[in-house]
Parts: sequence; structure tokens; C-alpha cells
Amino acid sequence: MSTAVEEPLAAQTGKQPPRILRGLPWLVWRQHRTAFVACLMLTAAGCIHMLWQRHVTLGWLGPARTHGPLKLVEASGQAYGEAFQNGAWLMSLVPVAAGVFLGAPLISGDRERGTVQLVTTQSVTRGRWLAAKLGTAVLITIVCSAALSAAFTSWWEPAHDLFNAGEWNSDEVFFTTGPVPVAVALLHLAVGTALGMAVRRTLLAMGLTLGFTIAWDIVLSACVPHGFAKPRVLVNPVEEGQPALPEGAVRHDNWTVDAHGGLHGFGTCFNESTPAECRSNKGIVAERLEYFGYDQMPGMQWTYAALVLAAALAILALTLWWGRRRPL
Amino acid sequence: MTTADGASRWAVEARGLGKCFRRRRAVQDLSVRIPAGAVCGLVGPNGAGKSTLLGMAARTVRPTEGSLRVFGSPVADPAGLADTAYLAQDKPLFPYFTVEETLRMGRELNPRWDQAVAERIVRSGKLPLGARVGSLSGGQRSRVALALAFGKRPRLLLLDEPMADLDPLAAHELGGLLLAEAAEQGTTVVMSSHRLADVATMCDHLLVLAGGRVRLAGETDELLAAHRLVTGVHLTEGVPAAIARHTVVESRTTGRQFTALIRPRGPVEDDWKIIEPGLEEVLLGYLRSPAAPPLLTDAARTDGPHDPEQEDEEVTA
Repeated sequence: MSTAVEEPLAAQTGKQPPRILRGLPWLVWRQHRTAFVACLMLTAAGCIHMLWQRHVTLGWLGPARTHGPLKLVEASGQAYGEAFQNGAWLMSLVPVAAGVFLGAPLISGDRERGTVQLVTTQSVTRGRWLAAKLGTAVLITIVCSAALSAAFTSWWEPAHDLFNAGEWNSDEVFFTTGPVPVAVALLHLAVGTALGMAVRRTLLAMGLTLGFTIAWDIVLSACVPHGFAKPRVLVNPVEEGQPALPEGAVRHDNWTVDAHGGLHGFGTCFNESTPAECRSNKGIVAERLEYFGYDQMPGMQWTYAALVLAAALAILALTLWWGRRRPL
Repeated sequence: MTTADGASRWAVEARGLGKCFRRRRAVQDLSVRIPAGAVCGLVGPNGAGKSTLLGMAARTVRPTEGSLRVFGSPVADPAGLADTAYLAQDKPLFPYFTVEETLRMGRELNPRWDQAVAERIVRSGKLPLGARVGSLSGGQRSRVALALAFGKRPRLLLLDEPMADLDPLAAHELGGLLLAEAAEQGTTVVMSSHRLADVATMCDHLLVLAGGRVRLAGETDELLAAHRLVTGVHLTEGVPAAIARHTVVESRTTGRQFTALIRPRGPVEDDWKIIEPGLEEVLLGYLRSPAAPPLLTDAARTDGPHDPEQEDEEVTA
């Protein structure tokens, strides 16, 4: 480059790589390319790993299914359950990455360095710049979380009755498969961006966003969305014991029922020395099982994802509106 | 207010402009205008409101009261974005961008971008285009920021302390460049500076602020011509009656020597030595005397030349 100083303009521009991106998208990509490329590469690595694990799972699943249920549960529990749990843990980090590493620095970095002034005193409005930033970050988040979720779901689905003991309503499965990771990642991105807009300091914004992810986890573990579908019911005469759980379903609740249809707790007469006598005294004639069928899972996930997505969009819109109406 | 071709005669026109930060009033009741094509020096002590005024014209600070027009359109109108370039005091740039990428940002975001001008400014500082902005010295970063501002081809160039961290050679070179570009393109320049020598050599208009208010505004020549520096021997206390008739900006007594910066109303009587002051004497006089009545020339006043309330302040030169 020693001759660059004297080189004519035309020769210089001839060497430049072609302009694929122009205007604001170019600026946003150039400014955040390290974070964006890291996200895309981690996503690619994660997808390859999960697809490989899917291949491995299919490999043992076929032979194991022919050897009956006992062998199957042993095989999944001991040899492959751990890999699945690790995968679920990695999936739970996707929203953290979107919020803390993508969302929080997105605007706070520019506010901290004063480059908001630099960009918005070029010939672009603050609103257009913010829209370009948010749009690109949302796009990257959707691409990464959707790819990871698709890969993880394709790994989990063939063995859905085995992984995590078939309990798809638990955090490990419900929040890591289908549309839910995309919606939750977008919510975290939106919260991180909004916090970054509010506090100006990048590190503080990242810390606050991390606090939000922890709070979100705590709130979530306490209230897994059971209200999004109506549980189905099986009733058995009391002599036949509890009804068996249909294949792929998850248990919601157990009751005992008297002749008038009144519900009693699952443990009624459980610890009596003469349970039969106790039951006849209380008039209990049947056992009742409430459960969610496997076919109810997509509906519950989509309902949940739609609600989270609506919250994310509301926060993004609020951020955009708020950012636009601050200094001009 | 507009010329025959429809363009506004006034690059900047403020009426009752004010900006109130949480507790502090940075600018208050500012009514002044700067004609298109002027190179206007913005002078004042620290905290006088210079940066706030430039920020309001550059749309990075929202006025809390009054109106501010740039080339006749309200400052909030996004159509004027391409007309104004702004160099902030701390010259923010993306530290991980190379110089070339910084210029590319200018090209991507500005419709009238002039790559040749921007590259010329960068090259004359012997800056390698591939260098990261974060690795440059403060003065070199200023040069890149200036290149970005010039390359935008603005009609109004707002510079906040542009020369503050340049070496004398670079300051001289960029000052010359600034004037040449401004003359060639007809660019209006408003630059704040603490270096009075720069202001004296570069600017044909002045805007002096103190405490968020205008102290002096108008063409440099007219402002200077409106003042007289009177010296003489004076034996009693206070300002002599012959001088007190005029508007006294500042007076000092050293021993028997009496010196005063005045705005004469009619001829000065008695035996006084009268000279026309230099720019520094006038500027320092106003900066030292916050109580002196402000002076705006016809060109700088927004209320027209014949406002009866301010008749006594009218320039008589």
C-alpha cells in the first residue's frame, strides 16, 4: 500500500470488493459484523452437532424399538440422555445470546461512543437508522434461532417419548423446540435493545439484560403454560387402578371420583391401612387422569410463541418510537 | 426573507430559541440569524451555549423553546438533513472502521457525497486509507472527521472546535482548505473556537455568546467599526461624563490612565485618544463584561432594523 497515496482514485476503487450491501444495511453489517458472523458460525456449528446427534439417535432407536420398552428406556437414559440434556442446555442459551450479546450492545454502544451523533448527522434520520439496526438484528436472531430450533426439534422428535422421560411439557423440551425458541430469542433481543437504549452504558445494559434472562427463567419454571390447552380426561373404575397414560402424552393431574361425580384428591385413602374400606366409606368409585396428548403440543407451543412474539414486537415498536422522538 | 431564486438568505435563523437541560438553561431567548455564505465564528467562554446551539442546528439537540430555521425550513424537517454537516466537539468515529470504511460510510449515507474532496483531505495528512481509526492520533482523527464533513458537500457546515487538537501546521492547512472549499461551494460555515487568532483570520461574521445569550452578532467589520477604544488621563473616580454618554462596554483605570471600550453615539467630546479596536480587544471586552448591552448588526437581527425598543442599540458606524 506504499503507492496508495499517489494512486488515482479509479485504480483504488477497482480493487475494492463489490458493493453487495449499500446504505444503512452496509453500515449496520460493517459495525456489527463480528457479532453477526459469530452468531451465524455458532449456529452453523450447533446445527451440525445436532444433526449428527439426530443421526446417532436414529441409529440406536431402530434396533432398540424392536427390543421392547424396557431396553429402550435404558438405552436412552444411559447412553444418549446426557447428550440430549446438553443440547437442551445449549438451546436455553440462545435467548441469552440474543439479548445480552446482540440486543444490549446494539444501541448502547453507539450511545456510549457518541456515534449516534455521527450517523444521524449524515443524511439519514434517526428513525431510519434505528429501523435498519433493529431489522438486521431481528433478521439474524430469527435465522439463527429458527435454524437451531429446527435442528434440535428434528433430533428430539423421533425419540420424543424417550428423551427427558417423554415429558415434553418440561422446560427442557417445551422451550427448546418448535416455534418457541424463535419467539423467546426475539423477546430477549427486544428487551436487550430497549435496555441498551435506556441506559447508554453497554456493560450495564448487558448486565441488566442478563438479569432479565434470569428473572425470565425463574418466572418461566414456575408457570409452564398449561393454560393454553384443555387437558383430556380418562376415567377408570377404582378396581382397575389408575388409567394408563396414552403414548406420548404427559400427565397433568390425578383425581379420585365419587359416585356423584365429586372430585377428591389423588392421595385420598392412599395411606389408610384398609384403602378399600376407606374408599367405600367416602363413596369413591373411580380414578380420573387428566393429561395432554402429544398432538396438543404444537397448539400449546404456537399459542405460547404467539403471545411472546406479540410482547417482543410491542417492545421493539416502543423502542423504535421512543428512539425516533428523542433528539429529532 | 428569500432571494429571487427562492432560497433563503439566512442559513440559520433563531427566534426566541432556548434549551433547558435538567437543571441548567444552556441557551435562552436567542434571536439571531446568520446569512447564507458567511463564515461565522462562534465565540464564548466555556458553558456559554456554543455547543448546544451547534447541536440544535445539527438536529442532535432538541430545542425546548422558540424556533430555529435552517435555510428557511424548520430544523426538525428531515428534508434538510443533507444540507447540514456537523463536526461534534469529541469527533465521534467508529474506532474499528478503517479510514477508507469511514469514508465509505459517508458515501453510503449521503446523496451528494464527494469522494475526491474527502480523499484529498485524508491524503494531505498522509493518513493511510487502510489504517484503523482507533489507532490514529487525536489530530488525525479530527482530520478524518473533517473529511467526512466536507465530503458531504453541505450547504451549512457546523464545526465545534474543529482545530482544537490539530498541530499548528495542520490547523493552518485545514483552515485554508476550509476557506477555499467554503468560497468555492458557497458553503456557510459556523465554527466555534477558543483561538481568537483563528476567528480573526477566518471569519467574516461573529456570534459571541455568554450565559446562553447573544452578546455580539453580525459582520466582523461592522462590529469592529461600531466600537472605539478611548484612552486618556483621568483623575477622578468612575467613568468620565464625556465617555458615559456613550455605551461603555468595558472601562479600566490603571493609575491615571483611563481606557474604555465604547460604542459611540455621536462624536466623542473632550481630549481623548480614539482608535478603532482590534477583534481580540472587542471580544475580550465583551467576554469580560457580561453586563454590557448586546450588539447585533442589522444582518444578524431577526426583528428587522427599525425596532423602536432597540433603537439605541442600533449600529451608528
